[in-house]
Amino acid sequence: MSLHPHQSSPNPVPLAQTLGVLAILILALAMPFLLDKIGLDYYLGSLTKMMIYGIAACSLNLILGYAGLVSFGHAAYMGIGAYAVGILISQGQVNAWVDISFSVLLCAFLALLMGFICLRTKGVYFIMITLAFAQMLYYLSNSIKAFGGDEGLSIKSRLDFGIQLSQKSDVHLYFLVLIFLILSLYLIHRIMNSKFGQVIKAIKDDDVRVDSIGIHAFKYKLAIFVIAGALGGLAGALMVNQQKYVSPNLLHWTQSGTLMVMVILGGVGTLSGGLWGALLLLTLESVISEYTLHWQFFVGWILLAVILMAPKGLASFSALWSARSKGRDQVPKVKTIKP
Amino acid sequence: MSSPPLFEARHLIKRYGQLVATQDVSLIVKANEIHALIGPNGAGKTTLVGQLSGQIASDSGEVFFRGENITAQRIDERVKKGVVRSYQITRLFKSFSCLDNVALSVQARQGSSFSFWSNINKDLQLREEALDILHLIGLSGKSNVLAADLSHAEQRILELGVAYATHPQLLLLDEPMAGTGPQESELIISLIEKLRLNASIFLIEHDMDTVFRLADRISVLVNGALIATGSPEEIRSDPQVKIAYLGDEHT
Repeated sequence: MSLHPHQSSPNPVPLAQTLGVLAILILALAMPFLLDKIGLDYYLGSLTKMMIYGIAACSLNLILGYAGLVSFGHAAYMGIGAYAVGILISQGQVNAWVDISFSVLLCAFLALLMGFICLRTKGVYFIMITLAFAQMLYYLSNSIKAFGGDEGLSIKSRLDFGIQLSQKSDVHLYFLVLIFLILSLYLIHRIMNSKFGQVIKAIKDDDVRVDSIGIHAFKYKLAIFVIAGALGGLAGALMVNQQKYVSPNLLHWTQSGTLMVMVILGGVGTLSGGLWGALLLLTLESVISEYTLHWQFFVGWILLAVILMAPKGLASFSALWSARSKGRDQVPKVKTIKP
Repeated sequence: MSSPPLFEARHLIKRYGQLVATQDVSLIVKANEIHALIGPNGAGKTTLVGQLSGQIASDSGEVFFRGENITAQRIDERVKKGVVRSYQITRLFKSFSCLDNVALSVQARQGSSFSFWSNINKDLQLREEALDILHLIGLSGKSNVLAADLSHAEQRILELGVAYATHPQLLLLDEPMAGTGPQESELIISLIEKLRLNASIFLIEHDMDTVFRLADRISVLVNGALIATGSPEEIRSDPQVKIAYLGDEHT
């Protein structure tokens, strides 16, 4: 297969993919009305929550999936982002743009600090030190009585977005979260298809070689860590609006684990993997917990099946589908994920 | 005053606990030469390349490039100066195509890696430069093949291409022919002869015939210390070298 530089519009977006994205978008836009029509508008809140988790999981996928850095502390950003907005609201600052910018910047700064230290380690040490940092913040949030201590912090009103939106309306919040989700995915899409993104993918393959062709890998790891932390903070800021409540549980290490499970279920190192993982996991949770308290037992089996049979998660199926619809044999090889 | 040598190492030492891996090594690589480093297994050749390239920090000693002291510089900083290494055990971006492997080096040299927004695939200049390198190393037919799917010999060739695409002035090649058969070795030797037109080369190699064919000068490393440096003829007739190294191989 020879390649000439001028015929090269490499990887043109296949039609099937464009149509698929369009269909999903229309479905997402119609969702509040559909749910209302069939009398299930109660689930709009759940859907909003899933999309917020989707943003968080997609941001984790930047470091975990694309860069291959197994961070076990991503809940820290979600939690700190949520607390930042919760505290600001309880102090009377309800301007959405101020609050969200503040929590995003705060989490970016936090990620800069954490990354500066954690990224000097590798492998198991990296997993442990990110976990340690997150747990430190978890205990901190538990111990500050002014912010509710272990009981958490309830807020009376949602953020004010300054446009003709009712703070009470779940539908309005749904659309706002949808917009933030789309913007986040677009941002990640642009980043991962840029020269910077290429360096990040190379770091996953071999960060030592990245250094030895003249690119200081550490700097790039830190940058992607900061971007992921900032998006995690955004998810947290939205979460406190949806739940009207933030508690230390949002920072607990099991939350970090949940985000990792979402990424693995949805597809490691894929653009929307985190979103599909969040939708699947939270749906499984609510469906299975109707029947048994031990829903995690069954989710565990599903996770096991995904890791063994489709290491790219749900994304493997969509890749299979788009490869088939292109009529080429570009079925991605099943590869085992690197530890 | 004569101009400083292209590359100079002075009194390099590296210890791992009780083991002294590099014992007071000083050497010079001149412009336009192929300087080969030979030595028995475990002599410390790879450690030395690590120190010269900036991958491994020396316990003491200094490294100069064109007269500038680069001892304190990281490997990526030295690469930007023009001192670039390759690896004995292939280190490629296995999930990247051949083209993308080389393109990343081109991108590294351009210093444009902090571009977050524009689509990399629309950078035709990057692709063309990368294709030129693939042509040079004879892998243009494989530009879309994943590095992981190449044969061992092709991976060894791409390994050199990735290093060369950074436009080095000095290439530190760590056993470029490791694990290849005789015919494939010939390919790599002719590739090295092409690369030397644009870069000086410090070559670690096991195969004596190759070394004596390619090298302008040879240094011999035994137990972490240099025991001789000279032209191939001088090395061939050096009694110390014969005892330490050639004797073992050629009996």
